[in-house]
Amino acid sequence: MTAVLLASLPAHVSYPFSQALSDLTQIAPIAWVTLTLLLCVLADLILPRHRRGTAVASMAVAGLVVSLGFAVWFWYRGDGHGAYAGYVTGDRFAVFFEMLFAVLGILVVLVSHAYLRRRGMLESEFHVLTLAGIVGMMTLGAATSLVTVFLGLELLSVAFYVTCGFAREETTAQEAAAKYLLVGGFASAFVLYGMALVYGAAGSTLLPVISQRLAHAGVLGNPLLSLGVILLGVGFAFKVSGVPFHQWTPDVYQGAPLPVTAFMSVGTKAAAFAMIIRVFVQALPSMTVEWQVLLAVVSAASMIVGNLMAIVQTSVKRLLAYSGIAQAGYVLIGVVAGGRAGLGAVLFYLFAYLFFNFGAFAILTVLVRPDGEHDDLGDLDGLGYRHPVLGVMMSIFMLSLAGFPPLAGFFGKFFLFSAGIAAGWTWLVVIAVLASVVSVSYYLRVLLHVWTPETAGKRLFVRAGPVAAVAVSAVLAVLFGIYPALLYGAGLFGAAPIPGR
Amino acid sequence: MPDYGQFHVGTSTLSTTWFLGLGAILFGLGAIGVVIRRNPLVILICIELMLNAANLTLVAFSRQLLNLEGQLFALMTMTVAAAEAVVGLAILVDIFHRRDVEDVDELHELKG
Amino acid sequence: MLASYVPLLIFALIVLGLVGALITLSFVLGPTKPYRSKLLPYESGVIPTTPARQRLSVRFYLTAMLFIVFDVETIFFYPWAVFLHQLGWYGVIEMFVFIAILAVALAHIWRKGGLEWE
Repeated sequence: MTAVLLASLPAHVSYPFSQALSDLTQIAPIAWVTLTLLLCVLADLILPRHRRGTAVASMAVAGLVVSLGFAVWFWYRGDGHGAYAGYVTGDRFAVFFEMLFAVLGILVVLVSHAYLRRRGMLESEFHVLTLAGIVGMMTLGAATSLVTVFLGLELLSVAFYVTCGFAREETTAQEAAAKYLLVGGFASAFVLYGMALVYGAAGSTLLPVISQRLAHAGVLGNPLLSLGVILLGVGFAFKVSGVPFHQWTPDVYQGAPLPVTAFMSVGTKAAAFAMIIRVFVQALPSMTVEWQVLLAVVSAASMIVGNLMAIVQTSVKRLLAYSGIAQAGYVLIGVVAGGRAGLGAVLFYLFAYLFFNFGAFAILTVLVRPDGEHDDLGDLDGLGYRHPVLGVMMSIFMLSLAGFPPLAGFFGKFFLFSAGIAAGWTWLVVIAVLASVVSVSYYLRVLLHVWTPETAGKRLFVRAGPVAAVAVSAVLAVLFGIYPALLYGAGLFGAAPIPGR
Repeated sequence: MPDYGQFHVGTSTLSTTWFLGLGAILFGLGAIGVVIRRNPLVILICIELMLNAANLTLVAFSRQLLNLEGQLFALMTMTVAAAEAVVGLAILVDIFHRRDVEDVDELHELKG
Repeated sequence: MLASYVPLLIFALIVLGLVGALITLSFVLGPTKPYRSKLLPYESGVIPTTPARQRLSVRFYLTAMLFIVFDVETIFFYPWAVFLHQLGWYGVIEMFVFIAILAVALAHIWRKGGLEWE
């Protein structure tokens, strides 16, 4: 049987060194992070125990900065193309996400370094797993084949299964890890089976080829294909934590260590949207009507349920988890609307969301004490008086999440909603606007606690690394609010390689 | 041109449909198992069953379409599934180490 | 197409039916007079003192886990070996890179004490 299959291949397959070099260049940012990861593992083995953590953290940051440099360079050259027989690509969409995840990785390492020291947890392993997660996310942005999409998805998921349970002595962390593992594995199985059916219908795993071969397929003509799209949709909804596949999110976010929650809330979401755009918009434009309806329903349900549930939470981590579910609903509007404007708005929102959502979680790390995290709303009391700078920054993040002008969150929603209306999804945008009005109440409730006049709180844990990460996030959240064109232009360029319809 | 969609077994042949059907049944059994079984270890096994059902589907399509990508995909999936199983077992064993969990509903400390 | 399996199917049905009927009949018709010592598990006439399901040491599991990971990685050698001629020297170098990555993982396990029994 194998002989038969081999006979079907071109007679002479060759792979010269020049081709290998050109292919490697296209994925240089990803390859560089992978190399950094391996060097970090070795450094962890060689260095003496007390110097490991700091050394590995600095190596990780240095590697991510170089990777970011590569990505920025490729962005300005703008001539990326497919590599490795079309399995990955270095186009602007991929490079946009490589930049996003490199920045995210740097912020995560800065915040987690101080956090892990404070809690006395293993450090170098944590940074290695962070890098593995970053590699998986970058792969999802660059993948142009179902195989690479699945590999990227699993790489990031497995890294998160481990880091979620990193506080091994806490039963809640173990529980979060187990829940994430079981739900994540279930979702991955759905995605894989959906991919198998799409492969069977199209006869290829390459996304552009699938799009070409299925150009005239309708849902009625091919029941296997429509089942595949539904299974993929369910799996993707799990991954972006859209309602009704969201139940794991608050539990996992609450149980995982804070830097992991911060990383996950931004990183998995952005990576999952990259995956949705690659698979649905790029490979399955012929099935647009089917997945549009699916995603629109998930989007509406997420905005309603996420915002209503967030109101009654008392833990800030859970509140932000439900707020994240709602935010995923807003971003889905951009995917449903589609076109260059819709996808550009999605990319804008994901990059801006990186800063204001990560920053909000990162600020909670100042409340961490060696005995654990303190993330009740009451623990925030008087933060603004005890540390006015942090208080102001928390206000920026909360107002940005709520969508007040002139912050990045406002323009993110503005671009998403206007793309939705332009594409004729008015009912979805009406729900979104009403839901955002509701959301203002709980974001302001957090701020009420932050600005409660109370100065005699417990000692804050303020370290240079996390504060630098938070400050950069706050500055960029304001900057992208004042000059949204800067990032929106980049979003439009990033969306350009995805064929419009 | 012989029909490669047929699998020759002794004197008779099997069409790809049977393999796809088996894959679908295994996937369904796995999914049902995840939903109704309460032991975390059994749930993990059911997830592996679902992944393997998808693998079978990939290989069957690969044969029918005369396209090697499906087999390549299956090889990748096997590695990924092994990694996931190992990490999953490590997490579950760590939990069993601390307390005797025989039911996922016992994992209920995170609520609010 | 599947006609040659029909005798097998009939055979399987007869077996299942016969066994099912025998078990059901003996369960329904047989007299049951349970008393205490009859309900005890039988273990060579000695009354069992410990549960039958014994727990295995985590060490067995750890060894098995490491074996599976490295064992599954070898499946990539097969397609590589089939195409080695076409891939040429680049293929050889690439496989060494792959093995080097696995070696880093092995070094990590070794150094962290994953290979020690005690």
